[in-house]
Amino acid sequence: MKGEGFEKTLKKNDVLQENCKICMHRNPVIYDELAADLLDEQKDIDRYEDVRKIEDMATENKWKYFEDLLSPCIRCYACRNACPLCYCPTCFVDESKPQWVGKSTDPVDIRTFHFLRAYHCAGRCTDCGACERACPMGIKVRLFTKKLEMDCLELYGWEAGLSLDERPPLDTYRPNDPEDFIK
Amino acid sequence: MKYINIDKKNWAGGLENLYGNYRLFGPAKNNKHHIFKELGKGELPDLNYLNTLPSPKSIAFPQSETMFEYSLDENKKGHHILKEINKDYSPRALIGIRPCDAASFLLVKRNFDTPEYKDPYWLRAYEATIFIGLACSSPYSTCFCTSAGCGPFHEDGLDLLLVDEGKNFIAKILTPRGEKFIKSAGWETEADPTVAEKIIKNMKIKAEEKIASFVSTDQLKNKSTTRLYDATFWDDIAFACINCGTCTYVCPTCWCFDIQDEVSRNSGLRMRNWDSCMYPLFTIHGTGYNPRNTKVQRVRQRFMHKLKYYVDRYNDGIQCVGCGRCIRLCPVNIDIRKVCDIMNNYGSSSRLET
Ligand code: SF4
Ligand code: SF4
Ligand code: SF4
Ligand code: SF4
Ligand code: SF4
Repeated sequence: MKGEGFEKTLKKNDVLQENCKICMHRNPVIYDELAADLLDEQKDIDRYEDVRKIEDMATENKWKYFEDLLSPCIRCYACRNACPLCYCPTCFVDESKPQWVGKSTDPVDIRTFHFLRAYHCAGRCTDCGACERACPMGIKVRLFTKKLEMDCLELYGWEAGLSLDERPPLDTYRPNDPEDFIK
Repeated sequence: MKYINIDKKNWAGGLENLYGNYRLFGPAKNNKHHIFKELGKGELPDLNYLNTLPSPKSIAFPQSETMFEYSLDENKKGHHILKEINKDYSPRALIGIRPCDAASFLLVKRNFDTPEYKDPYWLRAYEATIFIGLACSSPYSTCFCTSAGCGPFHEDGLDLLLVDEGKNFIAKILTPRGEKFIKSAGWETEADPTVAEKIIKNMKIKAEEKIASFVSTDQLKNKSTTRLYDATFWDDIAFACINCGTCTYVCPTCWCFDIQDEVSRNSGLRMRNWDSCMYPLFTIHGTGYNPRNTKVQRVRQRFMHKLKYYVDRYNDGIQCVGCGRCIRLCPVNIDIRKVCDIMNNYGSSSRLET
């Protein structure tokens, strides 16, 4: 990397997107033709270290953490628009008859958008990182979806995007579905 | 013209003197980028920065601003009446604003301060603000201010221009308000105007040489609006756009807003929030019909507004100061410099051009 008055060599791992660093599916799952050889998949990767760190926080710290995380958000919705799995013709935040969510910079409305968006993506998010890459404010939006992605893996053994034939867990019902989280 | 030398050793002390007379705003590091924020007592602006990620337009035009409140409770005095909210319009100083951003305030003023209509919120905040500019010595590669009507040492819109000379700032006093500001800071060492002038001139030339990109705008005025509107290039330009609106939210010269009422039980607020022509909701009618229902139409609106409608209406350049934020932050690399050139050159080889 060169610029005015400096030159710097960077390690690939230092500049890779966060989600690429921990990717376990570098080979395409579905393809008609493969243009290059298959790669060895990364092993021994802890995909959820950051999620667990947040989970281990005391409730107040967790709240503070998310408050800080979202404080720069300008609600441009670039994260949503960049997301390949958002498919609603009209997003719930854009509904105007009736309007579900306020339009100001009120933290409650900002949180409502982020929490609902994350839940809408549960079981469908593949952690592609498009949201985080698009965010002009540099917010780590993946931290919301990753927790749900982890839950889907732990609770249902489900990883999104690997099969065309199976329905995602939040879209199906099986009598033996785990229900310990229902209290 | 009067010049003051501010030894950096006296910088903090001067700001200390100003604190209390002005609300001080300056760049500060937040996460990985800089923003403008109100400085507390003893807090110094971080002037070691290129530019803030969000533009400072929110100083006079907050993303969300409450205008009125009301109560429907008949037991309350003044119920069912929209009441204006008291706000702090005491003098505020924007320290270290870049010349392009200062110029953007003059541009936005055209919209908020017209002979027929004066926007009280924007104007009061604007009038309460004094602009202390910081000349740029190392621009971003995306800065194109010199061909967008300003430049790294541009003075329009500023009360004072600070030029960083390493150990000291040269402050060029541009208005009586700037002079008052300097006085109340207690910076008194006058610089020899001829010497100061010369230093600034040299630095200015060097800075302008570093600006690496340009737009050509000379033909925009001559182009036919309808031909530009109907041009076939819009599909290509808009192809990758995700209509996120980032370009308009971070833009210092985008001025659109939406008015909303928020009601809770029997009291409510009327506020205005930034809006963007990139969003479908911007134009949707009550009937559900949307005259700008496609992405291409919305992308075209943004560029036509900035580079054609504005040009025709005000006859004084484009609605853009060349800060380059929209280029740096667009997730899909849509570049106003390219679009401007396409528009400026459109049909120039055709004899049919009117
Ligand atoms: S892209 Fe970033 S700033 Fe925009 S809404 Fe999403 S999190 Fe907020
Ligand atoms: S566009 Fe010009 S004035 Fe603005 S930050 Fe860049 S060099 Fe400075
Ligand atoms: S920032 Fe880029 S992708 Fe987003 S609306 Fe603007 S042009 Fe389109
Ligand atoms: S259009 Fe882009 S370059 Fe021009 S003022 Fe707005 S953000 Fe800056
Ligand atoms: S470009 Fe769009 S958002 Fe910006 S001022 Fe023009 S119409 Fe408004």
